[in-house]
Amino acid sequence: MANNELNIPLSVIGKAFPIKDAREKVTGTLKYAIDCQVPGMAYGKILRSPHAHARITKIDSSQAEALPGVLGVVTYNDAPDLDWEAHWFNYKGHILDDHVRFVGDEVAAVAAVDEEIAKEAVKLIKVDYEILPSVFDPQEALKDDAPQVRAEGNAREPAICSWGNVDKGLEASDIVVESSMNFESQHYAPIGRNACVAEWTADRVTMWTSTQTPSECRDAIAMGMGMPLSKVRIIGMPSGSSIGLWWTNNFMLVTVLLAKKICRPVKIELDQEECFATVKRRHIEQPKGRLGCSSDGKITAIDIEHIFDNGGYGVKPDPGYLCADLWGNSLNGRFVCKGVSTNLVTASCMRGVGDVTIGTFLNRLLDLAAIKLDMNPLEFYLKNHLKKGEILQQLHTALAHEYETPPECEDRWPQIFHLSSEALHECLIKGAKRFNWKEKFKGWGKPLAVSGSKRRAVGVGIGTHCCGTEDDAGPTSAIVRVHSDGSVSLSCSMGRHGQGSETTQSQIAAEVLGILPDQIDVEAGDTEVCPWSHGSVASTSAYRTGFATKGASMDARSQILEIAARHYIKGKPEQLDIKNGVIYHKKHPDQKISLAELMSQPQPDTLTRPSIIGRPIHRMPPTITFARQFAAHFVEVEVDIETGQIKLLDYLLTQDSGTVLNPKVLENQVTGGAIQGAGFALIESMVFDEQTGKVLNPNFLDYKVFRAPDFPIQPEILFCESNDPVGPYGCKGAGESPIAASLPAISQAVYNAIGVWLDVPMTPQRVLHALGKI
Amino acid sequence: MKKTFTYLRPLTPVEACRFKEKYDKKAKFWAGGTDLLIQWRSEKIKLDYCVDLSFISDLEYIKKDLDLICIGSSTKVNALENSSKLDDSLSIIREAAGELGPPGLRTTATIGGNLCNAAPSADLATPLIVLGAQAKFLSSTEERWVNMDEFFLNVNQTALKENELLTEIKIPIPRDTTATSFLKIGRNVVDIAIVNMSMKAAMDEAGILSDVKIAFGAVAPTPIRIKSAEKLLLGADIFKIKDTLIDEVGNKVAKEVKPITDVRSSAEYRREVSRVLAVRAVKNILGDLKKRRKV
Amino acid sequence: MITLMVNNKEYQLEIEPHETLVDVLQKRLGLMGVRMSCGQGECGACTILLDNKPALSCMMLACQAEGKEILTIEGLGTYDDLHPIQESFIEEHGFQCGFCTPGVIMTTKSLLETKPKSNASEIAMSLSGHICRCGAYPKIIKSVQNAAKKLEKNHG
Repeated sequence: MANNELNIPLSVIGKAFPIKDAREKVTGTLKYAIDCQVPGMAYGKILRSPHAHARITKIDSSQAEALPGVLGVVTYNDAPDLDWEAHWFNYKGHILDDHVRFVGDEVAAVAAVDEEIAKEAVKLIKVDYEILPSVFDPQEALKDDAPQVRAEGNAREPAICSWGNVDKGLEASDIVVESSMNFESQHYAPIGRNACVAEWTADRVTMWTSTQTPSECRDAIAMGMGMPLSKVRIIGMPSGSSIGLWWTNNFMLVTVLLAKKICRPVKIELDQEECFATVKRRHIEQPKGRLGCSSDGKITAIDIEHIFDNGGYGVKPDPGYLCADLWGNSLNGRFVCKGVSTNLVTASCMRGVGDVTIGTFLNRLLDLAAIKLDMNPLEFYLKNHLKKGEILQQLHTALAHEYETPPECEDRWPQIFHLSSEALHECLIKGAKRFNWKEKFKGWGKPLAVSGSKRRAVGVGIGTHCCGTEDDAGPTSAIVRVHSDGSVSLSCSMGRHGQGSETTQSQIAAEVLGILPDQIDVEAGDTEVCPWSHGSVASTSAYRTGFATKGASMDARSQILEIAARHYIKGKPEQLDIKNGVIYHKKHPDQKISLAELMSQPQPDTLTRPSIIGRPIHRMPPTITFARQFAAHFVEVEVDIETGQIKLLDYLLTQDSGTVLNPKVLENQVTGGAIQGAGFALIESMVFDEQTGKVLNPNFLDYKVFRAPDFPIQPEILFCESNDPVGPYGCKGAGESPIAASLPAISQAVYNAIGVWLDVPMTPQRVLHALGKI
Repeated sequence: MKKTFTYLRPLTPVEACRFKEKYDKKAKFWAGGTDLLIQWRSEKIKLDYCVDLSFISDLEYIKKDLDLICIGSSTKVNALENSSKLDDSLSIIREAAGELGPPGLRTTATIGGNLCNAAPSADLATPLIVLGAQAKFLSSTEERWVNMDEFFLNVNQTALKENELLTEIKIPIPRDTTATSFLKIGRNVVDIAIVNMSMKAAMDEAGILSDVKIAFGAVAPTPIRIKSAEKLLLGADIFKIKDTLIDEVGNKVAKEVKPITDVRSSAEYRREVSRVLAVRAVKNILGDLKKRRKV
Repeated sequence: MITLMVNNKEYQLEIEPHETLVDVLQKRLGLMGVRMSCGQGECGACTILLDNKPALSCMMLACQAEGKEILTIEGLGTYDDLHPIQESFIEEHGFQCGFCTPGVIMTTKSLLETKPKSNASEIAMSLSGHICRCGAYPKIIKSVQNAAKKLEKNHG
């Protein structure tokens, strides 16, 4: 396989090793952040705004502070007059200030000797508010006379990317289709909640919490508290499902502030309602646009305007999307995104980001064009999707001025702004065959079967996403340390929310080092130990962290072989290999030494044991400019036209994430994305009170998510392995294209069943309304 | 300062009533507690004395008594779900129990708790209404029976007087020629009902319908009977009922229900789906009766 | 003062009446494997076995559990001595984040004792009280099927 520099058959890549913390998970011994306790710990509770938009004119915590057992209170008077910014514009604001921007916004916090006292004390804090007019609708918030949520105004600078001449392109097109969609806000609906424990020692702070981004969390704490990075330590702990929720959240900084005030460690644990209503959510998104194509089905122009809300504290200029390039063969394109602040809980990144929403909308425009041309959707997609080696038009337009391949990297880096690998074509062909698409697709808007009130039909949808990105942040890195008994520690900052990254990273390292993953211990959460990394966001871990892990392992390996050649085996390092923990001469295998022996023996020259610390030697190329993951989903639905209920009968997932590192880990990842996407497609949405902006369904009773019987019991999964030139052993990211493929597939299937296009979620009410029954 | 209450554990129904009388409004009967616990925590109810009924074995039973099925009010929902005594036409009680909340809840939730909480969507309500069940109320001074028709007064309000305890539900075992249907719609497999309903109809040897009962839940402040729809079917010959009549039944139901819009669903949707479920229930029952008539 | 029978051990505990069973199991007995997430009976994470039936420990007072046998994940198998169901979940990757896993495993134990020949749909319905937000349902079902085979072998 290319990208297997050692050119030997892979021994651990591609195998379904059990995940590293499997035993802890099945015995209930894995510690999550909510389980965290430190000696002398106090308990904190947050006072939250009952108003969507207000200024605090007076805050009196004296009664609260007088309550026996209360150790201290923090208000905006205690907070540094500094904005902290989360990565990718997910949050910008003071830790506490005198301006509240959504119902549930943090106003103050109390620390007490136990949680009950803290809860009581919170009620005793007296706050006078000057209520300000509020705005909840993104379109309203864009108006000049709208209440301004942020000092710098509601509207972010429009994020425009255009190439060619889209107006001329549309004019010249044989077919032009137009549409718009409205996506309600999806929530992460986390099982497991979160907590933060903060402890100060002199001028240093340590924080235990569940975070997908330990490094970024450290950056944010340092920024928000106005302190050096070296004095902030994050110990990232496992969380329940996160999918974008637990990055750095303001309640973590409140905890740090409170701990500093009372000079004792403090734990703030969020209850279910706080998790749902006060942290973040997916944006409300409203794309509209047109697509032009030729009469033989080639896309010629795409013109999309996308409005989305950032809630109270998000400041994203665009939701984040790579799908424009999936159809980037269009010669003319214009994507205009407008992010706008509203007085709803903060909105920002959630699994799949704009590739779920803009991606679904793009699929819809494609489908509308295919309908006009009477083309099978499969045929239309196959004709138009980006192929390996083709230019990533939108990225090129946006970033060509920033990136250039340095001459010394030309032979190592792929061609930037060109797709490095792709097996989407194979996904569509093989998927269609396996799913029996030819027989099951009866034509646009034509059901496969009608039985009483039930209509069955099939749909196909495509999703894509990057495999991590650069975007003004640090390099993603890793360190490999080989210990004197031959065991290995791998340190690479990642989230621990069930995506199996510690396992797959250990497989990469094990493959390079010629040992088993079991012999590698992975530290993913401690910023004292792990070098900077994006963490587990934007499908970074397999690709970018994997690249770094492989690089660090290769470095460690070459150090090992150099020592072996120097002292123990006659030959040059390049003549040696490691397999099953034994270093040996490739031509004379009886000349060997075990890794454990090599590490434990004092070297003849220095009289000390070796010290092996590996770090990536080669620079990582800008992966956003060439690496993409792809998913194509095929689904069969049944719509009951009397009750509006939609059932998923059959589901086939196809996935191009390059080489499969661990098939069972990857199967779980892609299925999870599909189920979350299907939930969004059919039943999930946050409901806000129209008058007050309060979240009306901040719990699992009222915010429904899929359970086991709601999704096909054993969906089929096909992996089509493109071989990426940069991803470790050819692998690519996988986390987000599946959720992006799920919605358009289901949406199309519903159209084929009942002949109407619906907004998301496609609730029974929406179905009946579209059919004219209510 | 800590929020708590006094826990009382009576071992007989009479002891329970005595506690309740003693502490009056400050005490509540706690069956499984699955509704009360949440209400107490969210401060929707005040509770100084918790009278735990779950140790009164005399309140937990499902037994046949001649032509009656008698169910103790503390019988667990999962016992109902799995009871072989609730067969034939009584199976709608089993079906409703099997759709009540998540499975793990049914181990502690009770039939009495579900009824006395009196949520408009109480899943066990409509089956018992259409089956003509009666509820026994016990206080320290008297015992009385109330028809299920008159059990529910308003949202979270029943005909129980302050210090009365629901002890038993008795259900006349329907005749062999009775068919029943229970239907529920939720947003997904585990949900509070957006609409739920039950229907019962008996048939004589000539195939004429009698004893038609239709009850709907989650579409009014209490579960309600739709008597105008029942009347349309009374006396009808099962082999002569036309689709137009069945549609009229649905329309009557749609007219009579009083649904609201809430976070789960809209009033319009509930109304329309009530109509659909009514039609489906009628067709289910007719189908069932026709099969038996042929036999 | 109540007496609780937990994982075959008897405990005398001084508790407050309002404490739920999960409160007591976690805070008094340190059994953190009994997870608590939603606190309203919707997610199933707090599931334990009460007289061999799955019950939601966040939805009952500890007092109500007196006189009953309580089994938690800690009583099923340990890190070094796994129950066959736990082994099956490891083999089939029947989890991702693992938060719902102890509850799912307890329900599985009860299911396989009462209805060992359940098919995939029946397994799914029996587990409908468990929210797995990670979406590992297909592998959870496979794990249960794997465990059923293991247990049948052990008994056979």
